[in-house]
Amino acid sequence: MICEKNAEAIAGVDIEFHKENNCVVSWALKLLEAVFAQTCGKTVFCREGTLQMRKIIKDISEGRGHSEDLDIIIELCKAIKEMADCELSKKAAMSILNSIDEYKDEWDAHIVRKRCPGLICSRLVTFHILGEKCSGCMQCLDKCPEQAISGAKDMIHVIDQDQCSRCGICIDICSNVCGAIVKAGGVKPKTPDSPIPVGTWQAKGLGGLRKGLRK
Amino acid sequence: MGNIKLTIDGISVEAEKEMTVLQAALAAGIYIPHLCHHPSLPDVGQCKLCVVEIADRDGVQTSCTTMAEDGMVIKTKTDRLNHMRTLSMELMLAAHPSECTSCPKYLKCELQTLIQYLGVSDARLRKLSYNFPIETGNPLFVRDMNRCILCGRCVRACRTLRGAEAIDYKKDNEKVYIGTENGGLLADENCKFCCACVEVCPTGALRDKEEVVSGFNKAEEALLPCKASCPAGTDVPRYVRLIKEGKYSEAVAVIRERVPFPLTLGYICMHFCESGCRREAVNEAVSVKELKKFAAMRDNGLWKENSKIAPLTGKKVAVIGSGPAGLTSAYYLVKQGHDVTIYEKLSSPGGMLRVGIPEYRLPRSVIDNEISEITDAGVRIVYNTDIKDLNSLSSLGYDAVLIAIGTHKGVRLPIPGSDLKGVMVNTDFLLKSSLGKKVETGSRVLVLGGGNVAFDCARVAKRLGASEVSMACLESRANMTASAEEVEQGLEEGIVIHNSRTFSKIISENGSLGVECSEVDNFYFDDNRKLVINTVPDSLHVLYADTVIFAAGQIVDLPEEYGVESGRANIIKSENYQTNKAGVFAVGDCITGTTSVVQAIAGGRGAAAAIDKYLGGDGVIDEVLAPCEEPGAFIGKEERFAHRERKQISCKPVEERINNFDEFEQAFDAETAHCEAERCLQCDLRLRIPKVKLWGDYAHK
Repeated sequence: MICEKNAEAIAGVDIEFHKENNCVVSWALKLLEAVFAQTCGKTVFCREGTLQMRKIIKDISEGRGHSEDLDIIIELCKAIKEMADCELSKKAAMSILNSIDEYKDEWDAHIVRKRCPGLICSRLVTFHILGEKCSGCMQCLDKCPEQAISGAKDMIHVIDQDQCSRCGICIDICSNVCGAIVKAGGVKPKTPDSPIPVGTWQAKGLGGLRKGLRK
Repeated sequence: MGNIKLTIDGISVEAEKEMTVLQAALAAGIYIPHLCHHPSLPDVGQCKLCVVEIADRDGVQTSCTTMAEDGMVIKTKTDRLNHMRTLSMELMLAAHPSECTSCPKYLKCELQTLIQYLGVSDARLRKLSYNFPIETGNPLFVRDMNRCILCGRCVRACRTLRGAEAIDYKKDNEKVYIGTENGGLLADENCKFCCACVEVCPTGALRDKEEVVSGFNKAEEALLPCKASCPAGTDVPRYVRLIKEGKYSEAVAVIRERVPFPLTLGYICMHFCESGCRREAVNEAVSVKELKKFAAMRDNGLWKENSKIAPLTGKKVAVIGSGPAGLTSAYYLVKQGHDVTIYEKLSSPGGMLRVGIPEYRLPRSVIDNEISEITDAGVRIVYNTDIKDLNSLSSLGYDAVLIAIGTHKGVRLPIPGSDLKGVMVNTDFLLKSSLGKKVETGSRVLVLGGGNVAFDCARVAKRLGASEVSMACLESRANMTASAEEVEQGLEEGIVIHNSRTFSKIISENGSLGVECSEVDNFYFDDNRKLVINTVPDSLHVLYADTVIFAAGQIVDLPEEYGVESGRANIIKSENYQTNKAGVFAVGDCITGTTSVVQAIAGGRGAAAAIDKYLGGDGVIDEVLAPCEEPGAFIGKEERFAHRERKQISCKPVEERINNFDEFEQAFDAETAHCEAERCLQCDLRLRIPKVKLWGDYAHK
């Protein structure tokens, strides 16, 4: 045995998946990153298996999953469980297998529908500024690293989805100010197309038109 | 042998107790795929290709890390195992370039044979690539981490087999790779350039630089260029190692396996080995010649214990000339049981060793001692006998004749005044001064030529008392044919060198000589090998001297009565030392033109073999003189090994050397010699690493 890491010692991530406020795919990715960081990386299944799964799961979390990916992950996990030399990667493989067993729907949502039900996988969610809540304070706009937010003082801010990198900085800022920024999966909230004065947005009463998404 | 029995794939196999299952299978001709296993390295079970199933044991086991036990029943090729191997291989290939044909290791790659055997491709998994820059900044070999599959053989070779500790596994957030401790170049991080890592790499990740290994016929020659470059094939790394270990007589025995003049060569060898030395690419070549001299000065004659002389064959051989070629041939012919007589024109033996090479470069006692070993072996030398025609020899009943007359005729350039009084040629000048005959030079000597012989003439003239010694030659300073050392030492001794001159005539004026020269702009040889010189306009001038010495090459002084075919410069035509006349052989400078002592010796060996065959022998003159030894593979760690500088010899100050013929270069002392010997990269150790057998080599695949 080359690698003698203790399975209890994966720093920074739960070795078992807990559903509350979490996403199974991003959990698996974090777990694998932690495992890779803490193993010696000398044997092929432990090293290449972990890296291969990381690559596949990263793709899944960004909407580039393939239908056969889950089978490959299962195959790799079983091989790691049987052949890896260290307890750390074996334990992680078993946890991922369990998560696939228990939360197959959630995995499939990512792979097939390209959705993250927990709204965690940033590539699979969009960010929106609710017109009825935005105070036009400019704080999110100033901090956006992509300059994807347009608006002016006392004008409702609007996120340009093409420019948004889904970093989440705006949502952190706004949650302490007016809580106007939300994440969305498949169903997007209605928001203004372009900045309009604060107080003039009527989300309701537009005949169900999803104005915010009309381009 | 074979004290346990096991069954592998239904075949009953005998094995030794200390063997792993993999070793037992491979020894029995049963192939189990493997990649991280290498016969010279400890097994670690990383690649998982060698998995097997063992009856009564759970799961699968890596056969390289499982000891063979009596009665074991093993399966090597089940579906489960095949699946495991395929998946492992797919994983490795996912991080390896897909395209084999563009790889320099294509068709010489162990990984490629495994891909073939397992029928695996990288198509199913995600491709992982890390875009490592290809490292070409290290000497001798290229590191291309993109092609590395992390089998770890190089790390084990470096750390466990050699103990050099230059490379190890390295890891960052997204990848594992093999590298140096601080990520610097190998030379700065303990690498000893033994190249064991390159030898064991199963992929194109570590590979010898093309320019380093190209141009050789065999891999062994490419990897041991010192030995391959030695005309006599001396086993350089072996004797350098023995010197390092303090085994000087053993070292000399190794040298004596190929040449009968170790100390002579220690003084004056052209050291082709040093030009070949792979350490030159790291920083500077090992000072092999000086090491040889150091050892040969301390020889206690151990080599004689194993030196044998065959029973007499009754065949008689005459050798004409007692230079290094003739002496070497005579020596080996006597050892083959033949009766050999050397006929020497002069009153003492050695040829160019004695009358060409000045005494300050080669003390006469060295020549005398080494020649006495040859006469002690039974070679007879008849002095003061100039063989003018070969019939006189055949009437004496010789079965074979060897012409080894060298190139003792100096060339006088065909310019007006070249035969004026006071104009001499190199060979006559050196011969006379060597034999202690009085040579009147006057105070100003001008040597025409720029080779090593020209320097010999100039420096001898200086030592004979000439106050103004100068040289003039066609070549520019940078392109002079003399060795850089000669030029440097000559300049130190106050010799003035006039470069880029061509000579049109020699004149005699008021009791002194003048050489009319022009400055050379450029020169070249045309398609007919004719020299074309372009001079600088209006550059005609005269260099004055009391003595002018031509040092423009030497030709063979070949008596026409010998009746042997010859070509340009009277060089005797021969094929495998055989001339056009039956039973008449030729060797040395007289068949090659002026070369070097070590080439003459190498020729001497070749001619001895050829003549022995001609006389009915087997022509095998090789001998084992040094005791067998097993060099240690573990060379250990040494920081900044690659930066250790070549040891220089010290020379006596100029004023102490220019008025006498004593040797002026000081040989290495023991400490310096050991230090220098330690610089050797021991390239021969790599050749002791066995070649990996591939699946095609096994009976049961």
